[in-house]
Amino acid sequence: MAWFELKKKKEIKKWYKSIKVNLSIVVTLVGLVPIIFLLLAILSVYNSNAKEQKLAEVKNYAVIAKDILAASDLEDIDSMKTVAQLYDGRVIVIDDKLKVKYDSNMSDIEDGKYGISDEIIGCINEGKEYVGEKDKIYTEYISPIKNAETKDILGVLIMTYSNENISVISELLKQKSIVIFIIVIIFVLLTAWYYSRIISESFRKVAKSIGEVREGYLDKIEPVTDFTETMELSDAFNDMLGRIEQLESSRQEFVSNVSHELKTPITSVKVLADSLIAQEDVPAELYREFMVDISDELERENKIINDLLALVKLDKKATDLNITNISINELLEMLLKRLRPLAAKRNIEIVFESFRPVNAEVDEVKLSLALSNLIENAIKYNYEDGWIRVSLNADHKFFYVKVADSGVGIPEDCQGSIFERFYRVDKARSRDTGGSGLGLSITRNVIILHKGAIRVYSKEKAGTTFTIRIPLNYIP
Amino acid sequence: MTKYYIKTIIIGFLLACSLSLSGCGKEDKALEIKKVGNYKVYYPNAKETDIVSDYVNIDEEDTDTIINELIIKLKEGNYSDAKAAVIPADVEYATYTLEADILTVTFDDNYLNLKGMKEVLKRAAIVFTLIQVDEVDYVRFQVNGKALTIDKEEIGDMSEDTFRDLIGDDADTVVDEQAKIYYADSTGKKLRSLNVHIESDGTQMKEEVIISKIIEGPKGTDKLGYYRTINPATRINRVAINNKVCYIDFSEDFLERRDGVSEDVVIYSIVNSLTELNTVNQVRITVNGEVKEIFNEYANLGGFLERNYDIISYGE
Repeated sequence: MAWFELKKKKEIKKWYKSIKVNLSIVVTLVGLVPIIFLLLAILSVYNSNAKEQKLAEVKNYAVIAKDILAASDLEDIDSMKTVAQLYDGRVIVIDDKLKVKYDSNMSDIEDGKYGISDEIIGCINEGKEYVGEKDKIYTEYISPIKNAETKDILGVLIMTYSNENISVISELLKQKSIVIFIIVIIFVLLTAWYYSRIISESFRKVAKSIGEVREGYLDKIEPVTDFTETMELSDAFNDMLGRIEQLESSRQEFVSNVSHELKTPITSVKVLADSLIAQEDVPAELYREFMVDISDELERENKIINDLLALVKLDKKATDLNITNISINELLEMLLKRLRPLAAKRNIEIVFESFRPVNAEVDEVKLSLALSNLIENAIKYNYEDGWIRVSLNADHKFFYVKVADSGVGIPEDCQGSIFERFYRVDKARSRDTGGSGLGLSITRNVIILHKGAIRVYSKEKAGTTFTIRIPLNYIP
Repeated sequence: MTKYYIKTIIIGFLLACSLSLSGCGKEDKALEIKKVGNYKVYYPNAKETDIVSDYVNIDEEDTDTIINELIIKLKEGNYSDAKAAVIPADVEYATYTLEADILTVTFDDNYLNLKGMKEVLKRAAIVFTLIQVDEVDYVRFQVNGKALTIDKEEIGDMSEDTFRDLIGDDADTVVDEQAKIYYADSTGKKLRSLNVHIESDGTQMKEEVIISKIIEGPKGTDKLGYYRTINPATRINRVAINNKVCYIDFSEDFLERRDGVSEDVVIYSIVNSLTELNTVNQVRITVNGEVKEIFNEYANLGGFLERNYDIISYGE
């Protein structure tokens, strides 16, 4: 198909998928279909009811006429004239030998006429009544004339009457119905079209505002107040914009934090180097001392950069976890083996409690990093001669690692912010103990990647307990 | 996919059409087969509820021979829808004489064994059968030299009209005659009479049929010089006759101004036509149940209207 035809097809599809068109059609149908049914129902009910009613009336006259005829042995013809005029129809009286005794429409009836048809004969033989339509406007009602006592059939009474006024009224109803219907169609179509335009315009407005925000003309979109739903849409969009702004500002904050943190060691190094350069005749021990300091600072810088890299890697949502089934007990044993010497320097004892052997599907490297950060913190922020307890437990769904220390604790108002990047409770203190301020961030990210949870309980000057919960089976 | 649906529907429709048409064709063929024969033999059907007929072929020219043949068929029996013969077996003879257009058939005593409806049906069958003969317009029955008498009443001359099917859409015509109807002449101020053929199966009164003809207006190519009088949209609400007065109730369309004809012409086209009948001497006109004294400010419409001789134009 030519590109042009394809484009047209797309446009047509767009058109008939629009709210405008769909809503118009639906509303129109909903408006019209009931009306059609109603009008048809009224017409048919009128028709059948009116005809039935007329027939019932005529049957009443027939009863009277037949009584008169039966009583007079079919001789009282004059009364039939009156009956014919009263009920405004034709009356024919036929005796049991098919002879026409009276016909109201034949005023100059000659003697000796007979009526032969199977309805008449059936009526005489079996007393069968008959109601039939004739020429589409007349109804014929044929009934037997019976002797009151013996029930013998003396003859047949035929009453023919016109349903024309019913037909006329029916026609009139039909015509009026059509007119009403056309008016209703027009009205419904216009209303449907107009209203659906309003609705689709509202959504268009929202789309347009969003476009303007994207172009940069606006910060927030104007709430489209026409409908609750469009307001909700506008508000949701504005909320999202707010979140984006928030993220944007926290990113900016992060960048400035990073710059600051990276600059600090560099500045120290420069100061140290400059002071060395400034002095003349600097003794070798002084050089050595300053070099040690410079080396420390560079070491710090290195750690910060490494942590940053780790964090940025973890930040990416599509980080691939290298999931293997390993023994958590062994993992913790190895960590503690490495970290005990560090703790021993300040005479801090690390106790490992393992309630059962735990095997889980985890990323060994990342989890080690996370747990190592917690334990290092427990060492760093602890008193001399303090203790650290690491416990490992599990149920059938999760495994739990608790790192409790007897350290300085975290003030309550800071406990919510400790996982933020570069956050330090006491800036001065942390500079001495080293670290980048990113440890807990990294830990939290790893836990989240494993679909786990981390909680902190702490009391100042008493100690801190971190509790980690991780699913035994990794569910991506 | 819609294309296929449409195609299927069209093909299906065409198939259905052709099937029904072929069905029609078959029917025609069937009729053709039955149409072998130039005369019919009428007889009451087996259930004795109606008169039906079979075709017979009588290849004769002579009237007497034809009549004889028909009588033989009536005596034979064994028709396609009934066994019994029309003229019962115990009736030994049926002789006839033909004078002018009256055929007199004579039966023996045993004819009187037939009673009631059965007799009427057989009689009708005999009359229908014999009336087919060109020369025969009326049939008379005699038994042993005397006119047939049933229930102390003499049965007179019978024709086709004597026995009628009064019921249903194809009821027999009971009125079939010429009526004198007055239409307007070219001036629009006078009436001219025209002989019009009127036909009715009795559902409408003769008077109503005539009024309908007036409303319809003059028809046919040789109706030049005759013009419509009354508004053709007029509807007849009711017609009644009492004491030779014809009461007519029209719809309001009757009152509409008619171009080219005077009000008197409109009114008297009705009155004069109706008073031609011996059942009507006067006419009373109402519109939607109300008596209107004046018709369009010019003519008198109330009261009992009688034939107006002055308005009739006798010229051609």
